[in-house]
Amino acid sequence: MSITRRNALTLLASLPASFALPWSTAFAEEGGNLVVGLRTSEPRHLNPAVTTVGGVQLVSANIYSALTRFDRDGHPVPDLAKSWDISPDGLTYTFNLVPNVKWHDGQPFSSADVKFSFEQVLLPLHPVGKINFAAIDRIDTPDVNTVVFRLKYPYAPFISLLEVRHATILPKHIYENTDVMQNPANSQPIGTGPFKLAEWSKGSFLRLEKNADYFKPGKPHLDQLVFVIIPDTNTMVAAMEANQIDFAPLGVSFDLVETLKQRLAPKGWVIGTAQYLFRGTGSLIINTGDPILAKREVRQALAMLVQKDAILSTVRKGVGRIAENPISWYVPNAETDTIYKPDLEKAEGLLDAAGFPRGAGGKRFGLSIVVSTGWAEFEPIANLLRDWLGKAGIDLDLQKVDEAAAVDRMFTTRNFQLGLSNPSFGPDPAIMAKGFTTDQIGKGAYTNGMGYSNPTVDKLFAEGVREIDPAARHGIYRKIVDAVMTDVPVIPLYEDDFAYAFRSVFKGLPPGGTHRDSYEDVSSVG
Amino acid sequence: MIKAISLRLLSAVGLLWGVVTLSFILIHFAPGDPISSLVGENGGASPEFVARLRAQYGLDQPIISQYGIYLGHLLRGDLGYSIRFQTPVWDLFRERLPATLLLLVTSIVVFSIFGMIAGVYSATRAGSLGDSAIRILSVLAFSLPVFWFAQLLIALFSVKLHLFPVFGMHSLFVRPGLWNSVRDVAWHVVLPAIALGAWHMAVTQRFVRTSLIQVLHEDYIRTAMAKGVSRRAILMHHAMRNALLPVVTITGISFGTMLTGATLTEIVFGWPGLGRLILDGVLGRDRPLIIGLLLISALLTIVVDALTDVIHGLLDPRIRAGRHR
Repeated sequence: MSITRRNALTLLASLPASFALPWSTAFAEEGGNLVVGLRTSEPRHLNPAVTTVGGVQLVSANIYSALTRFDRDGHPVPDLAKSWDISPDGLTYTFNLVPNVKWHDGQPFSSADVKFSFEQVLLPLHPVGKINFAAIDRIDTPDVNTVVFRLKYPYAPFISLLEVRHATILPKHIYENTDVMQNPANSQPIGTGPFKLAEWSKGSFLRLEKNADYFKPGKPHLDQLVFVIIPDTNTMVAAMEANQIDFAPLGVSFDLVETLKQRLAPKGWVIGTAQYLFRGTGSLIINTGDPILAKREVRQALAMLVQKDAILSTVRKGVGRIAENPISWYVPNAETDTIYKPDLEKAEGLLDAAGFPRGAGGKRFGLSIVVSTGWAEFEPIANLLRDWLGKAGIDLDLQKVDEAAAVDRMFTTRNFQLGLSNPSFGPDPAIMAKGFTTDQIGKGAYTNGMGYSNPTVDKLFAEGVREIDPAARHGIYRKIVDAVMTDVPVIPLYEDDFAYAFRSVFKGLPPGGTHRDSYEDVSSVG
Repeated sequence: MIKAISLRLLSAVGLLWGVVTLSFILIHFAPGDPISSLVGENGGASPEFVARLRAQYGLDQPIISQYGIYLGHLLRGDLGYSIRFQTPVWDLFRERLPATLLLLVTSIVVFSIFGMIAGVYSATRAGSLGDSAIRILSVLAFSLPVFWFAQLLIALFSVKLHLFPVFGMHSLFVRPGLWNSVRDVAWHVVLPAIALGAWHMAVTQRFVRTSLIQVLHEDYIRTAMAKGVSRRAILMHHAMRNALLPVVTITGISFGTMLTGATLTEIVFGWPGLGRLILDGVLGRDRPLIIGLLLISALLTIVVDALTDVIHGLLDPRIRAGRHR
């Protein structure tokens, strides 16, 4: 590159951005291909409006758009809606749509598509559509570029549920008067997103091509985006080493981070960890319906026997952070003062007081713990727990089962005493209700498996969802967290961090983020 | 003859029914629920959604009627609808079976031949340095776990030497044209076929060696030698034909093992066959998919078994004539 005045200016202008590694877009070039390794099962279709399956979301976030998307910090920013207005009573949301947007088949996009998607698809067919959008009373379309949502009651999470994971906008002209679940467009999607599906080699890869008519000028930067299915972790690592893929958003498990840094960093790969939205909180969940565990003192004692820093440093290899409350970091001011520090003496006192003194051989009682083999870290954590509980005279019996059986035992049949799980409650703290309110007991995967029931908490959740003043909302969730951590139906252990790996020639990749964002900002720099 | 065939068909049908029934019962009593697995993957679903799915897949019916409905569909040639993939099971098979068969058949044919060549070499030079080397290699190949051997192949030939691709059956950006595609697939099949076929080659080599050494000590071989027939002619016309019989048997038997091996190989190499489907099906408690897969495996095994008998007949006139010693 010769140093012309223009080049020099470009260089100068991009200097600050180049420090904002690793997601900067400095020195971006147009064109190029990005090959993404997927370790999930192959998506069966590409309609994110009717499923929450990760593989579907990951690929189709590049094909479809929604009213909003998340920025790097998890705040909603414009996507198909260029701006919006919320009435002071929190009951009316008016969205101004980007004009002249075209579907991939050339048809014009309009407010009718938004209304159709919510009424005919998201509400009846999305797995959590009925929960997310129960507050919607009516959707009006005064003109092609305006959509007005009228709510039955103020519903604070609404604005954060309008991104592509929860509220994909589908083309009305393709889906109207058809069986949505069987529509061929589910595997030949027509979206408004930055890329179009070009080829789907079943079981092998999905190839997406740039949408030249994308409604955001200058985007996307890449010519092609290829998702390849590589089920095996070791093969994924080999594919990285051989530079056969460029990015592994779901391929890196936390325990591989150090190895990968040694093996791949010299070959031009960037390996790291970051916080991300919707991340799970590794938790010890407690069946409060069990005769022994029904006593709050016993649960508090358990919380004092756990050494979270040891779990983080030895099992998690330092990836993640200690969790003191079941709501993740992205809810400001939700930190609780009800923190349990390891204290064997105090724990023993609580157990004595609860009516479980040490008996013959120093034993108090025995407990069992359901350990899913679907998570590499759970078994070593359970082994640590066995040591710690053993010191207080509690025998712990490990029951290893696969993920399906673990979910079934902890959340549906509730046939367990203790269990390890990794629930994720986001993007709004209101979503946490499904894990803690009385009406969610035993309602299936990641609902209230603990059988936890506290009328005050139920009431606070009902208030939180309708409160639209942010400060007042935070106050409510703060109270919820305090109440929950006093009752201890769950012991939060660590917050998960996202491990990423990508070739350093790419910039602007979705951050640790949801990794279910579109890749419209990604560009190749060499 | 007709009686034999009908008996055989009848026992095949009985076997398939047994496979279906047994797997139906086993999966039903395994802890875990397909709908929970489906919706649980990403944080659950509303109770209405779960109930709708349950009804849609007939999981709200009693087990006996579920079984009856399934058998009824099966008799009409309908393998059911995969819960995890939300696609007819038959469509999944149509997509994936060709890749598995390509891998299996390539592996069996190529490595049977290699195994036989190595076996003949070993038998005719029993005790030599070459024979010892082959025997050591064969023990190694026999005892290496498939998934580990596959990783070794990838590490050496793909990552270090860049000779073969790490994963998949097709290149992502391949030039159009049939010849290019064929070459591309052939290039991709080499490592998975080696990983899968090494075990079979070892088994074949050992059987050919043992069986050939035995045959070479038979009286009729000695007679042929005494008559002055050339060594090559004895080997090809008299010895091999007899020595091949156990090899055919062992290939038929090892087919089942190779089918299992193919599952592991496919997962390691990201080969788009049935392998990953089996794992996804089991982890997701996807009953129609699992039973369908077991059924198709049983069917393949039965067909291969029958083929083995036919080939036996071609090789051995005693069997062809229906006479047994």
